[in-house]
Amino acid sequence: MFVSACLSALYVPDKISSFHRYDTSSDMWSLGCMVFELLTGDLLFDPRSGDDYDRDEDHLAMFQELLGKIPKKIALGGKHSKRFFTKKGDLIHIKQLKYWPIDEVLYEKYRFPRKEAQEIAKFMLPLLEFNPKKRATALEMLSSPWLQDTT
Amino acid sequence: MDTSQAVIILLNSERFTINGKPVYQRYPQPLCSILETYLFSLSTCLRYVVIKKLGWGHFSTVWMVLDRRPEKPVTQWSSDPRYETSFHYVALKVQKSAEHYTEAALDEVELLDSIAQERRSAENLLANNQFQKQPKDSDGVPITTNLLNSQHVATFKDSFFHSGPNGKHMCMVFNMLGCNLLSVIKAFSYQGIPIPIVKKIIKGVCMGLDFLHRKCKIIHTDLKPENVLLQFANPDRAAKSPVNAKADALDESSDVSDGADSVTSAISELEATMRDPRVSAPEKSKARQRLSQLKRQEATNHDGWADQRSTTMPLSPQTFLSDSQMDEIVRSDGGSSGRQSQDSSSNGALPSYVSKQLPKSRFISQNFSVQQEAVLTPWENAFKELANVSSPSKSEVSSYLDGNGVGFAEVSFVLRAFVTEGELADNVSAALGVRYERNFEGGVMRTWRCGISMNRSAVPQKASKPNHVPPMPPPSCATMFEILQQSRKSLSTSERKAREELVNLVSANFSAEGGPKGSYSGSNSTSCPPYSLFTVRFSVLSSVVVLAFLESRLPGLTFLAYKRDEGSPRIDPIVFGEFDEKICRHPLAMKLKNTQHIDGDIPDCQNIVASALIGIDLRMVKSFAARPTPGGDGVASFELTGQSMDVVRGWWSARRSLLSRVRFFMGIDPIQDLPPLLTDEESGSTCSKNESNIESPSKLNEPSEARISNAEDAMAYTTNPDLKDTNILLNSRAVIVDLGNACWTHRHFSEDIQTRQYRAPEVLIGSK
Repeated sequence: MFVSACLSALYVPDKISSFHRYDTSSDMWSLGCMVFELLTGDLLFDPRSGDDYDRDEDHLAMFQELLGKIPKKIALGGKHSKRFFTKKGDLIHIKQLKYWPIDEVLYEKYRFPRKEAQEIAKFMLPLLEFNPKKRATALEMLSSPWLQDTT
Repeated sequence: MDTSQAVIILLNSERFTINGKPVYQRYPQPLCSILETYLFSLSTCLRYVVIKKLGWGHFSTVWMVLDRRPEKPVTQWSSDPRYETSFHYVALKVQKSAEHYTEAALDEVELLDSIAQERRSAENLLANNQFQKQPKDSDGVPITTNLLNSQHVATFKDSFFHSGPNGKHMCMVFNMLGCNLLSVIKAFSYQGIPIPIVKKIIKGVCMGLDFLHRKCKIIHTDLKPENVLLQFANPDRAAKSPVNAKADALDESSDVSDGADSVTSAISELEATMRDPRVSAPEKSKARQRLSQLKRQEATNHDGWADQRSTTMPLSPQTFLSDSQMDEIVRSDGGSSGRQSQDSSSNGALPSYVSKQLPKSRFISQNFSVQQEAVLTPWENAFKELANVSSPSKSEVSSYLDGNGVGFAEVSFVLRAFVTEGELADNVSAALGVRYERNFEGGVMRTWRCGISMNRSAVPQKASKPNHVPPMPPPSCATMFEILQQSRKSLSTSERKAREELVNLVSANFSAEGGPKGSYSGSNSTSCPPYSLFTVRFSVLSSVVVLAFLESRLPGLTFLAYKRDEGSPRIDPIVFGEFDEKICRHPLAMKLKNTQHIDGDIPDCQNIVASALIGIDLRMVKSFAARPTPGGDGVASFELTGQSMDVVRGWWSARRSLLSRVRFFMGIDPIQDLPPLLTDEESGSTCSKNESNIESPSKLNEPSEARISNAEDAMAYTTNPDLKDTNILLNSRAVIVDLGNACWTHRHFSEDIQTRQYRAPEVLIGSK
């Protein structure tokens, strides 16, 4: 018993150090994508590769068009950062980004009433927070005003 | 063998294990229609019976299986009566057998186990802190909330290894759930799901995620619409187990609101039930179902954005007169309870020739009993009083028989022809109340097409039911069948010979001399009395209804259940011979013996028992010496009249109820065990198909209201309801499934996670 407990204690931190790339917060991002898809029937992000950029870069471009610029610290803090970003934190290949925030998309493209679009956006944004540490948890989302009128 | 082509039968893992592994058998799918797999439920050693394939992925296939030994829910929490079914269907996930799949599955089982354990420990915490008003966890979240949240994560029930020809498969058993969210998105034509439904769903997913993340320390890593399933509430469930519902409600604190309203309604129904003196009556619970159904409909109608379709919803197959439906009608008929009555013996006035003969042939004793009380069984009585007979068109009948998804059966019967076949046909027409249609296909062929509908409004409403809150709906339910009369001349010589032999062998089983096996000396010399051959074609699900109806209308006709080797003399060579398909073709004829030797091998032929139904006019039995009696018009009577019919009448009244004969023939109870209608979830057309099938008979009566019987109840559960019905969706529960890619917060299995479109930026960038 004692031995195995010790072994697993040694084992666990090692795993953590090498694979700490994602956490429960990653599920919350997916949830944000799902909310949009259920409401509109369309995928929130459906990236495609282009002539001079790959699908991942397109994906990152879409993030920023919808949610604003990815903080430099996060953009440059990853294992694959150099693949996508310049030292300034801009995408290497995709230069032109057109910011179109969620509430505008819902209002203009999907014809949600302005107020409703804003409420939905307010619900979705904490889920689509770039910084995983700042992203809303499931428990926090449960007390979100948007969910209060449902049983 | 490709798994998609196989039906896997899993045996009780405790009783049948080799080296600790459960034993299983595989049979090629083409052998068995889906219904036929139910044959295996004969065998008590089977625990999981595979019904159909639900889906498949890269690593596994998921099957819908019937758990024949369901565990009793330990606490109120593990079973919410609103979502429970009377049929214990579970989903069985069978992992592919390659080693790395098995390893992945072991990880999954570990995760699932910890979820189940977390749930249990929360239950224990609650149980051990009864006196604390609101026990909370370290995050200050009430334990009750955690338990409610846990219901939004797939419930893992069991896991085991299943050794197949391709190796070891990890099997995981889960609760059955409904469709996934992608199909809901599709149901709304990719135009978006109404906001209230989205809110409800997202709240459920949040609850499930909170339990996974905070309590279980598990990351799902593949959250997407495909991995969230809806569990549809059974409107009647709460009513069926009112005690549970009440317990739930009492334990739910004010800040826990999940489903509180439906529990409240359950309570009010419960109260209504309490006021009623006859709480346990089955129709009571049916009535409650009805009420909740009505409430739902009402709610839909008042709903601003309710879809138009919900009010003009097509008649579902609930109007189908299945055996279980009929059983209910008979029971609620106020008369003696249909199925028990035959056991309550009353008169011993049965002729001695019957009682003497019974022990001599198992075949005979299975079909006749000395404990018969009345000439008319309750079913026959119900037919007499409540049945409406209609004559649907050819296309209606054929689309009905082909279209209900379960297939039809054909059973032949011979009627004694004291008159010409044509005159006999007129008698049959008069008895059924339906004209025949004549055609010539290699000899004269007559066809009767009948629809039977039971008009429940004919049931006298008892005055002693003042508190019977919901008035019984005035529904009718209907089934259709078709009878063919094939002229004797059109039969081939060999078939005619086989038919005659069959009659003679059956006769010999009745005759006083038919004692020891083999005393019958063959029949080449003996001819049989003149007869006319009929075949009835009916839906498998209303076997008892149709056959009982025929017995109630055609005097002398008896459908005898025959099981292999049980005749004295044996009838096997004929019944299971060249013309077996023509004598009786029924997908539920037993094909497997409940043998003690099932040990992983495909059973050999010796273990196979077959059964058949033999339809015979008792006047065909030679030793009964029936003689024609002139009827009113001078022609031989169709009825069992006259002195020479005494023996026939004696036997006729000694018939066991058709239900018990059919039960014996099928090896299962057509009412208790018969599966619901199974429809392919992908075929969206099924619904409309059913609509056209079902509509025609009910058109003859008042527009029928849907009623739910056990089997159909389960059907509603196993097939997806109208996914655009906002009310159904609002009453569903979102459940997170597929932890096949999940991992611990402290131990990840893979770097490459999440389906592209749902992938988080940190995964893309590779945060350190």
